[in-house]
Amino acid sequence: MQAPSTPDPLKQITGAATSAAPVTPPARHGILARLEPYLYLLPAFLVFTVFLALPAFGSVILSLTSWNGVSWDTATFIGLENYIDAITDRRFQIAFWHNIVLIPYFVLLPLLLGLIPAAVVHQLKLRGARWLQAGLFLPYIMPGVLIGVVWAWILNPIFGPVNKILKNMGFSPPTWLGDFTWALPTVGMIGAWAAYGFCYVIFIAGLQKIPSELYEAVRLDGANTFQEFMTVTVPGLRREIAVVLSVNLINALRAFDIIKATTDGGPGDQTQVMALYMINTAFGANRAGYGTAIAVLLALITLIGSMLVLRFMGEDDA
Amino acid sequence: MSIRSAWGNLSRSIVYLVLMLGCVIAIAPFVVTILASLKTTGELVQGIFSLPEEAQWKNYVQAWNDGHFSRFFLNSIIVAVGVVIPSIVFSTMTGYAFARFRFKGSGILFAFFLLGLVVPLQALVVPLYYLLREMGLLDSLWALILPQIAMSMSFGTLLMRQAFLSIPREIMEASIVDGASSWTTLWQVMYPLARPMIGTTALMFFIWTWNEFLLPLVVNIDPKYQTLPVGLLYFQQRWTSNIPVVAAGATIIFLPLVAMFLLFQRQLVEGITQGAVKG
Amino acid sequence: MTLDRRELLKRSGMISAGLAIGASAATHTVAAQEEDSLVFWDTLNSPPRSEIVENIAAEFSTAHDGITVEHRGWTSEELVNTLPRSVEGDQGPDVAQVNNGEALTGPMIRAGQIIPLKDYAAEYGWDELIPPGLLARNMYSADGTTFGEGELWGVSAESEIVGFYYNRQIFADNNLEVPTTFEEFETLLAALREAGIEPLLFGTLDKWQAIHIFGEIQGTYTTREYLDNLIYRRGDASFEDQSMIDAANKLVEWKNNNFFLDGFEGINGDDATPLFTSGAGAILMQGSWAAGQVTTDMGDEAGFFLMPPHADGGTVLSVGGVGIPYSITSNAENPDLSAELINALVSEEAFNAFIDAGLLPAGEIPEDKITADTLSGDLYSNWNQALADDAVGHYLDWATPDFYDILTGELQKLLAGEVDAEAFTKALQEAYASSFDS
Repeated sequence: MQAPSTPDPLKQITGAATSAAPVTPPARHGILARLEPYLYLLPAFLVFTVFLALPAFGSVILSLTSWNGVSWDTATFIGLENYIDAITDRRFQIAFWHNIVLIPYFVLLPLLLGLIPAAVVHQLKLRGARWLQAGLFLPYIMPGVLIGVVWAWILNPIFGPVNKILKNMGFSPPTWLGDFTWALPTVGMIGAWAAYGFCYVIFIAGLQKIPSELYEAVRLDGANTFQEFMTVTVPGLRREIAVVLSVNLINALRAFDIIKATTDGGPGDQTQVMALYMINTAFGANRAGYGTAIAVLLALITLIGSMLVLRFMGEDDA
Repeated sequence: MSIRSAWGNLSRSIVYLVLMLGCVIAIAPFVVTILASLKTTGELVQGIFSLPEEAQWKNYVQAWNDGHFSRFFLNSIIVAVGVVIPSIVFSTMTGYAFARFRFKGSGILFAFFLLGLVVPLQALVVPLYYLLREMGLLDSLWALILPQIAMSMSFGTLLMRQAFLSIPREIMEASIVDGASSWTTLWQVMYPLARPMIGTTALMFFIWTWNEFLLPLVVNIDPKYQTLPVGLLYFQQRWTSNIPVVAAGATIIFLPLVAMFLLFQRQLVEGITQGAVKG
Repeated sequence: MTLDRRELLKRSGMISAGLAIGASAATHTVAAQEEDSLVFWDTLNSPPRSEIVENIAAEFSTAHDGITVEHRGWTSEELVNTLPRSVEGDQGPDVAQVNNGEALTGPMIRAGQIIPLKDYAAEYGWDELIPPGLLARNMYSADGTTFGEGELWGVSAESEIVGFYYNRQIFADNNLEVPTTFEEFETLLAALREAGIEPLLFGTLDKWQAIHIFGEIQGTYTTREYLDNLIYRRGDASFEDQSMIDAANKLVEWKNNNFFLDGFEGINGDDATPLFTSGAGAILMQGSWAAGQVTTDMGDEAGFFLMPPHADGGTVLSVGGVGIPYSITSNAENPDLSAELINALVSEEAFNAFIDAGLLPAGEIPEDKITADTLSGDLYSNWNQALADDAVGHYLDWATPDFYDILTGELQKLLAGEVDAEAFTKALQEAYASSFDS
């Protein structure tokens, strides 16, 4: 028998499965006994295999074909040609680049906007800030479409409040989502808006776990606020930072909902992103094989990105 | 008071103000949208924060009826419940299997179940569409429920396994010694102990399913089977020049989410915090 | 002990079986629903147009009791994106508006997704509804490779022409008159801007109106022959044509002269109409399909005129043609019934319903329906004239299957100053030329 592990929720999830080996009670034998665990797995296994594993496998196969999605006999095997086409496709490169551009907005900005206030609030031991967390967290649980629809009308250059206020103040603002230069940054800022409250809440929770002795120790050595921050706070929040970075990175790379509801890739190709391009080629342009290849690339890029984040943050379990 | 505490009070106030500002910015768009939903298009062009002369409730009626939001709402609920309950049941079973038993192939099977953590929906949706087409399931609620149960398996299995592993072994073994079957042990002993974790997981599944957009967009074209997020998009496209009505539609969607959030705030935050780690 | 394991086996089995049964039950329900209904999709997604077709549908349903007729209105972009795969997935309608030319009709014919209407046309006399010049736009060769000739694949309920709605009051207040030449039009727009009035209203955020404003300007530089060769893909026309370059330059010139609504890139095409009817601008560029809404909101305080020709003579081809035609999909349960529905949509009753709403139905408008100095009067007399002069142009996005995306993308770049006229036409020609390879 082994003692249960420390009930640190995050540790529970990211910890490797090294707890006590399961034990089959000795009194049971027979075929049914040995089948027992498998039976528990059966229903889940069926659904999972048919609706996830099979399509996943199908993705790889499909990406190696050229197919217009109409009838099966028009599919032809073309090997890695789709992948080569994708990597050399200017519009895919543009889409990929745009996902990268979204990273500072979706990932870094909310991180800072969440981390610094959280650290300050924690240090000042500000009570009563708890109820503010509710409002801050709200955007994160909304569907991306909703966020897009709401911001689309707020930023509408004619009907929306933002430009009206700016014009009253004497500025001549751009058309935001319709403007060639501003469209992508605007989408980025919408994403940052959606995420900063979430970051704040995660960090506040994480900060409470940092033992205060660490702070005292460092203060005794004469550290100022900034040094405290860098030597105790940031390392103490390593896990939380890793979480926030991974989640938001994935949102940046897989961005779809918000863009569909605001610009649909436009103007021109200014807000085109990989997920949108994938759907448009697979279904809109009837190139199922090519679209799937893009989807596989998207999955790989996301995977690599996540792994890089974990590696960078020094996590050894992924 | 001393300068130190005066400064302390001042900095406190500033920080508090900044926090409030952050909070206001987070909810202002929703508040403004609610306000807009009660105006006429003419009033909208006039002033942002001005109150309408007469609350235009008809915008909501229009969204609910013409916009078919009543249908979308119902579908979203059916799908969410249809996904959450089986997902919880199945993950409890798989989590238990991996936590409780040692059996051949458990390592491989466990890794297999974790596949869903690595494979995003985007990589699945195209072949999934054609698979559903072959099965004749396109344009149905099953097309939404079954794949989403599958997608919940990885996270669910992982969480439930950890939840069961963190329950002291003595409890489980005591039940075995008492002669209870594994099934009874699971549902009558382990499950109640894992309740909090299960509650949080269920909440997570609910929110993810409720907000799911790409899957319904691709597999269901008939509005009879469509859910709220896609419904909102169609609605926006149809009523594009009538912003108050679009705002009403948007409000119909976010009010329940706000209500749910206020009710389950603590669990939600906890759940998303943990869920975030799945990536 | 054994009892519990059996129970476990039972339960796992039951759950799995339940799923399987449920799945088939669901498919059954879906399939069953299709038998009693006729579904048609089109782009008439807002009143009054949507009401007209929905009334026709209701009457049809009553006349054929037991059949529910379901209408669904879409934006044209979403319809084009969704229709083909919905037919393949058996999720689609029986009747649908299929965008002309290579935009959608050509590809769908070749994929076997819509059926030929030759026999129905003979039965119902659909060939006589509109003049041959317009009818050609709904025709393709039997194998779907040649556009503009062969047999009939779709039937239009409406006609379309893009032009300019103007606010009579604003014109009167500023001593302005409907321009008779292109140059007069430019002077007019400049004068409006001077007077602090938004001259020309439209929106390009959702892309399609960019095609129209460009097409309208290009129509003053082009010829019938060139445009027909280009759109019907007869192989000898290129986008790198002087008319295209001139039009592109002129478009940018108009934008730089602030002739367009301040902020037009950030609003959708349909957003401009309520702006116009609320008096926020003097002129609205829109198609005849918007006449219903303008009539409802503004009545005869609005007038209508077509793009005028250049002062040195020459013709103008206004963007327009036939309303998107209704075709029958290949998985329509009951093609005969579907054809009957189409016939109802182009019946004299439908024709008159459109006229009553101030809209433009398919064909020539009888003189007795034209009242001078009304919005519909302006629209109809202009239309009849354009018909007579064979001055109805084309929609440039019909040129290839992906031309909608390419053209709108390049136009947005042109308007933003990202590319110049030469680069613009070059990009278009590249896409157009490569469409002849496959």
